[in-house]
Amino acid sequence: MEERQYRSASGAPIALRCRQHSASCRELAVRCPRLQLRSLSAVTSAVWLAAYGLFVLSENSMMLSSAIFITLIGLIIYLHFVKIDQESLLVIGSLGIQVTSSYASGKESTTFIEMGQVKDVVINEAIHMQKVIYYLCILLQDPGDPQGVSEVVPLFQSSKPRLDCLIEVYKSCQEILEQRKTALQSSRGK
Amino acid sequence: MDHTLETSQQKEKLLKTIYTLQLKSITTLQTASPLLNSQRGMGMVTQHQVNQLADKAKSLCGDLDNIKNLLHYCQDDLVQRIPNPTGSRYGGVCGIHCSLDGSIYVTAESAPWVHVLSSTGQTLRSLPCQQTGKESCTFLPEDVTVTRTGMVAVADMMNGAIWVFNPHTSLSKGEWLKIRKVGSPRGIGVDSMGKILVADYAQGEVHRFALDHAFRTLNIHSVPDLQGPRYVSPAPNGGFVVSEECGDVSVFTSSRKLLCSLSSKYGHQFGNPAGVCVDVDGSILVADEQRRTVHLFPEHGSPVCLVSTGLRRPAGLACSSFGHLFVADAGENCVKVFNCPVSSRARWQGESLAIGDGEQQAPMGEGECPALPQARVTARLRLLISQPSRQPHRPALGAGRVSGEQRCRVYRSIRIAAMVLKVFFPSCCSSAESGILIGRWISEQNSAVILAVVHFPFIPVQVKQYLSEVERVTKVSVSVLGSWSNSKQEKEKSLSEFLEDLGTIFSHEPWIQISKEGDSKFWSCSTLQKHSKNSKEEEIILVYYDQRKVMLSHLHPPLATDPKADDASKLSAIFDTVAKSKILFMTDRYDDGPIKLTHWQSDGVEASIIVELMKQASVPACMLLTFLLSVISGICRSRVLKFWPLSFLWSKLSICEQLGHRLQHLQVISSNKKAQNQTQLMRKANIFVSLLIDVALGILLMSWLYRKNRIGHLADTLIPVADHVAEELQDLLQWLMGAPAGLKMNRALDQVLGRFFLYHIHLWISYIHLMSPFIEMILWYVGLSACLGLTVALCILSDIIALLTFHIYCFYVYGARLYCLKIYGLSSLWRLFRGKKWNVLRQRVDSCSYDLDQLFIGTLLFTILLFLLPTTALYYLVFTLLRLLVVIVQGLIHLLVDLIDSLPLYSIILRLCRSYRLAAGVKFRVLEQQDGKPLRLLMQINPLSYGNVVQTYRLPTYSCYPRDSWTSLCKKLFLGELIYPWKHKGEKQD
Repeated sequence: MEERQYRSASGAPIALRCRQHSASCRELAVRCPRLQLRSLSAVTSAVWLAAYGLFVLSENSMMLSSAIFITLIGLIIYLHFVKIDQESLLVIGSLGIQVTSSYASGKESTTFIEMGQVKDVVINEAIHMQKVIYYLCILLQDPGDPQGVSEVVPLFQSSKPRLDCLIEVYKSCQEILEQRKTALQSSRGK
Repeated sequence: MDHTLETSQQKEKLLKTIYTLQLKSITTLQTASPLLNSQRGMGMVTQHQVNQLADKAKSLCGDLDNIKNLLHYCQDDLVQRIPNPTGSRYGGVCGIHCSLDGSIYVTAESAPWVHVLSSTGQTLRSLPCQQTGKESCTFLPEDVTVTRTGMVAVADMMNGAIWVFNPHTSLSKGEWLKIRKVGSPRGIGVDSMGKILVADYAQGEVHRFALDHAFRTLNIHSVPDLQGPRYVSPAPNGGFVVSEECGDVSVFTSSRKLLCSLSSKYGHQFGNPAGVCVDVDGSILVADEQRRTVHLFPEHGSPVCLVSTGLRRPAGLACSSFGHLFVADAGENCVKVFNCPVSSRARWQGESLAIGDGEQQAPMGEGECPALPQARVTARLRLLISQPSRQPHRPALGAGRVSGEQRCRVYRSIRIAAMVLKVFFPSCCSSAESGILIGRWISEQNSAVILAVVHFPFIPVQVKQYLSEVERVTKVSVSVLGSWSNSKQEKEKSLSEFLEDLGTIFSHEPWIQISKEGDSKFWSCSTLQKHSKNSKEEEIILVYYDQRKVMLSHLHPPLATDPKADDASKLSAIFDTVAKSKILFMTDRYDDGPIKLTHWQSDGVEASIIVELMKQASVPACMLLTFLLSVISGICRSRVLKFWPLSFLWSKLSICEQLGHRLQHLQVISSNKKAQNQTQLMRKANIFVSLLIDVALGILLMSWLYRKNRIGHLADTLIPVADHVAEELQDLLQWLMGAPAGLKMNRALDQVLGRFFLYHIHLWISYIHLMSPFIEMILWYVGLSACLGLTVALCILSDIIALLTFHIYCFYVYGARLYCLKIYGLSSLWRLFRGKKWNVLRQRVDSCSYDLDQLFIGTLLFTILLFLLPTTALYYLVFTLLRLLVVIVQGLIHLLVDLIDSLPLYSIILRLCRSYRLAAGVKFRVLEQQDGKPLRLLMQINPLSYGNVVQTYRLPTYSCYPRDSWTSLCKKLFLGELIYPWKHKGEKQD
């Protein structure tokens, strides 16, 4: 197990952790930048100040209590549905690829893609806001057409690592996918 | 054409000669080409001469093909004329399809029927194109086809929809289902993979999509940039053929790439290609509407004109596999049947294969089949000719074929898993005593699904007997896969030897040995391959799974039930195996059979006695309910209720719609047919729960209403409210009759309109006062209907609102009509100014020269209308706003009703309490590792997300709102056309 520091597309520090479970099983986890206390307190104080201003104007104490509720509910929603803590990719050579993103509240959402559906793992580029970023994606096999791609599943959507980190992940994925191919070839050779 | 014996013999002879000629040239070329290509000098022969020879041979091939085609097909061989079964009232026949069993499906231009004819022209069936339940909702099919499952699919250009006739519904007659909206579908077809092809005329696209068993469309692809595609037909290699209006006929491959266009490939000029079809041996047939011909485009050779005279306006085209060509002649309004002989290639396909293998001693002269595999021979000749400078004959041909096979094998093996052995082990068996493992071996995935452990002592014969019995019941090939040793203390050497010996009794390849020592979490796992030559150690992955959860869960999306399902997904095979071997788990731990098993055992269902009693009670209850329902639906269907004013009333009252909907639900629940699959079961359960909740809410509402004389209070407040509304309206009218918001109106018109509306309100108020003594009683009785469900009560509320605001509706209609008239008048007079007029016949604006007095009158009228417009527009605006308010309130109520109707509550509760029952897939967790021991994974069920649950199991509703887009709504409002909250009869519902 090793951990290396990289930067995300926006410049925030992220950590890539690679765990080799066995020859054909590898886990790659990208830890997203943590929630900053500074931004949290800034947002909270902004909401409360606005509520206080309204209270002074309207002299209704409902404003203050609603501000507290808004902050609490907003925080819960943010932690449970928006803020992703860690995104990990579990590549099991003969079974498939599992994509997990764990939220700050502990909720995990998982998708498992069987190896039969995986056509390839590639690095692609896309225009995001005003700049071009790279991203890793899984190409899914079109069941009707052996050459076609039915769907593209983008990975690490929240952390958006830079190209150097992506290349690292890409290489370890391809190693395992290659293993599978060589195993196939050797079995066919027999 | 005469078919005497003599001519046919001559024909045979000629074909034989052609074949001999072809074979001769092939052998000549075969012997010549290595000589010509030898490296040591070419003698006197130059490359140019070789090429010349090749060209000549190529043209010879072409000529031979042409002669063969001309010999084979016969022109204008009319067999039969089948008149249009609809008669001539509804226009000529246009769409035609011939199914594999020879029956013909015919549609006419504007007839709402699909007729099914036998191959001799007798009408077998007529399917009326009507949506059941809503009698007046008919549609006009343009083209027809039959899906792979044997259902009739039609393209409906007017509504822009594709309909499929589902004969297996709860209704005995079957019903039409709208499966997809397409802009303007013209032609329809089903390709060789069972996908539906639709030619979208206005958009210039061909859509291709698959249809699953729940009639949902999947994998939608389109081919854009076509010029008015009309008819579409599948091509044999998985592609399709499209005819474009006054254009060309294009052939596409299965990957939607343009392969060729017929006019460029064959150098043929089309007038207006209409129907296309492809016959058994892959030739494309095209009907030409302008030239009144049908041409056949063989794979090799030039086009053949099959029908040259006798057609007036050919439209659709179909080919049967028995050698008949059906042309729908819209001009003469009949279907003409021509002979179109099946070519020799299809007939001798079997023989050609056999002969192709032993081609050296081909029995060419003496065989009784003279026209041997011509196409194949010509193809081979062509291959030889096209590469004269390459290798001699054998490798060129062989290499091509081998590489194809190899590719095929590579492709197949990619889909098979790599050589890593996966053992799916039930976690409940981890504490079992030593024994043997039984389960299913899935060889294509190289994985073993272990279902149970058989303990010592056992008699091998009995185990085998038991397994064969299980296999017979469950249809899962259960076998002994390996041995399991669970040694509590130290390793017993004798036992391990014994376990290895067991492998010889139960032969299985590979023999899996799993052993657990003490309480260690890390098991050692090895495989024995007796017949293996490779000494390489395979990697093993141990996957633990929860037997109970996997057995009870259902993977989503539901699997296609075709036998090829096993290649769809590996995990589904595992789920399937565990679910099917349910019978294996039924044995109790106290059962004293000859074999002792360890596997998941249920602890018994809670309150199972109550469940059993309810099961017993439900049968008579269902029967009673069915009887009652049949009586009620019989009454509803009686003719007395179908007369004009009543039927009109029923269709406008939302309560009737809702009651009909609920009646259908009850019929679904009470039907004694067992639900065939998971989807239907869930649907039934969802309907049941939603009905229960609905009724419970309704009774709650009722108990609230009937306590403390709330009905009386309600009635007491209702009349003053209605009065108040009327008063407010009067005030509003008074305000409008003055100078509203400082606007100066046309005084005379303003007064007239204002008085008219005031009189209306006066009428309304007297009506309300007439009603007022009975209001309480009416409310009391109407309130009783809440026991039928909250939705029914809400629908009644919506209807009451509609009735109480009838005056607003009337005002709106008057205002809109006046406004609409003025707008139309102004627009036509504006055209008059510009010297133009609307041509009704051509649907366009033409120029026109007017007289002076016409212009004068027009100007006068225009001025009057223009100056009166603001007054009318003001009234229209005010009443439209009022009307919109009412419509929005009604719409909200209907949204609530729809929500209660469609929410799949049972599925949601199931997801909440037993999340593993609805699985979206699986997820794996890597367990602790130790070097040298196999990788251990824990397989868990990944539950379906709530959004997906709702999406998958949403109950269909009768949505009766016109789905206008916002722009069309605004346009309608601006032009003064009426908008309705309910489904407009003229429009087809969505």
